[in-house]
Amino acid sequence: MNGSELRVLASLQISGDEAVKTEQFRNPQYLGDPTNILRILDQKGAQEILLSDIGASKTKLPNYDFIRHLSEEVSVPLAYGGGLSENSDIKLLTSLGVERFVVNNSFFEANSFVRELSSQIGKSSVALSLDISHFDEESGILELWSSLNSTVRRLPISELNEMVIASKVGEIIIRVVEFDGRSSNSVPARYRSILKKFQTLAPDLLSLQILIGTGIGSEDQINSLSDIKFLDGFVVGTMICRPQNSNGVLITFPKTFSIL
Amino acid sequence: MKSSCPRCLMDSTATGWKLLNKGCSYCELYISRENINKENQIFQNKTNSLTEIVNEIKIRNKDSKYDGIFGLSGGLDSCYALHKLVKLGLHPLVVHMDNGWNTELASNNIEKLVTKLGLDYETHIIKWSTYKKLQIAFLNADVVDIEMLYDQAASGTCANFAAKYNCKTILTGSNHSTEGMPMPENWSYVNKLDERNIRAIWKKFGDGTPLESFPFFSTRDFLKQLFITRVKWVSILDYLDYNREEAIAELTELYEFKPYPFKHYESVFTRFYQGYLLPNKFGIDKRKVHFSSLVLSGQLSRQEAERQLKESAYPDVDLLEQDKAYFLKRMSWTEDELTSYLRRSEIPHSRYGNEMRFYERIYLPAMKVYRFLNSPIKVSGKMRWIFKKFIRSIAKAGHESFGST
Repeated sequence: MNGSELRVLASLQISGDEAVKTEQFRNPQYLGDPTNILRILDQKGAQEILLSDIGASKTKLPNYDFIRHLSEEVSVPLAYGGGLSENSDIKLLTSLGVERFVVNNSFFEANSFVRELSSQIGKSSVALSLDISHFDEESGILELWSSLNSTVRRLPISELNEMVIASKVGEIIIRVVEFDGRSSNSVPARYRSILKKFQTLAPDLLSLQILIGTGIGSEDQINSLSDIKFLDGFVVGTMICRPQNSNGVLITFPKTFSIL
Repeated sequence: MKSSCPRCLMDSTATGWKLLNKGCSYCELYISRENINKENQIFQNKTNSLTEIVNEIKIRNKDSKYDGIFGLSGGLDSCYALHKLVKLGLHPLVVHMDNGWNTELASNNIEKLVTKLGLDYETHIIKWSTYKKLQIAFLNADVVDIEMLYDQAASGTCANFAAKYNCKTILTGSNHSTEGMPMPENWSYVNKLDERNIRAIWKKFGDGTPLESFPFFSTRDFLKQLFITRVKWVSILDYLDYNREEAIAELTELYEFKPYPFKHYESVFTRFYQGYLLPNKFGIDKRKVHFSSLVLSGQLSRQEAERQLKESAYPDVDLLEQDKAYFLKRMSWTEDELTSYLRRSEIPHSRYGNEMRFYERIYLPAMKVYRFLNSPIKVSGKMRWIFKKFIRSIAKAGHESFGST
């Protein structure tokens, strides 16, 4: 058990009933049976688990039975993202063990749903995933990638700031698309500079829980960013299934951040 | 009343068991096998020295990026074997076959070894939907050797990676001191390489979909390796004084290795199969074979082994209940389906399509031929035979040519 207050979430992507790992949110590679993978992650002391259904984000139909089946293997807080919309049975998902809901497309397409969700279950249970395909730091224009139709939304970060505050979202997960499935030495510096821009151009967001995902490949990289006071945690995907960028798949969780 | 051997732990539940000499037909076989195996390893690798074996592996694999392929299951045997090989100077490619039943222990041990040893690592992950359906088919077929699926897939994975990286050696952690006791014929299927049997059971009890991602390894594949591609399998532990307790201590100290309560417990299914399904449906306790090997190789006293055998194969009841629940969940079975499975009689593998004829008439003789061709002890005899034949054929040709003019 470490003394750090950093949150480190193990992220697992599923498509249908298979666990997969994307690269730049494309080309899902087969990882195995999510039931067994989640079981191992739970036994390794993952603090929190984020389950992303990349298939459901297209169909907008969460697989309730499968989520029930999977949540049985998880004894820590479970976050779910993938196709959440005004038609989703939030009550059912909550009863199945989901404690945090991650929205992406619906934030832009059905913002009222997000606002209602937040007032229903509480701000801290609603997170927004920002998949950044490009960030022009000079102009402050964000390009957000949408998995739904592989298109890009452009908006100034100040506008995003307003939207986020208005919709009462409690958490933001910043994911640079380029780094998904590809950790490298340049990742921490890039996030540092993005966060700096957020600090200047979208100061209201800093009061929310800020997490970064994609590309974080090691405990060292996590530690190298721990000096940023408003950064609350990390979502790790590649690191928990392909440590050290190996070709082979190995389910693991960084020991320093384990709850065991 | 069940009688058992005074020297090892085998008993009348095993086919062909009978009291013999100082022990029984099984431990007598173990002892004679120990000698033959040493000879086999000698003739296959032409030397009894570890350093020579290691050098030969390096030479044979010079055209590859790696010093051979190492199949790592994460269990004690394979972890220790890998540790030893690297210590001896080899850098193999570590491969792991993932059938969806890995435990956290196995993942931990694989990670610790591969990371600390700085080795390249690759996996073959069988599509769970395929493996699940195959297991269910084997369960519905009431055959004894469900782990034949694991065995073929593990071998096939190693063979495929060897072909991919042009390796001529496949290294494993299999060994004689805990695996040399002959497995009773009725306790598993004699021909682990019988791909036809797997496909026949699939045809009858599967859902007709193609078996994608399943790495078969058949008798033909193995013969091809022996005679054509010249890929050799090396069990490095047979060349060492392998003591499990010492191995556990060494690995724990060097790699933060986490030991298992029993052999093969790195897979949830394997431990449930050996600890619950085999004893309850088939009346088979494989620990008798494992413990007998340990007793005969001096790693465990017979008294202690007997004591452990009296206890359940499961270290505790909670774990058994957990594993049973997990098994039912993964197989999508109800308790009732498990109960009726346990009640149904066994059906032998041979009842379904199989290649036993090929195995007996071609495979086994081919193995004899291979041993003959590769035996250094018999080389001089072979050379004399070839020389004599050569002389005779020249004499015959000469005689004929004289006759024709």
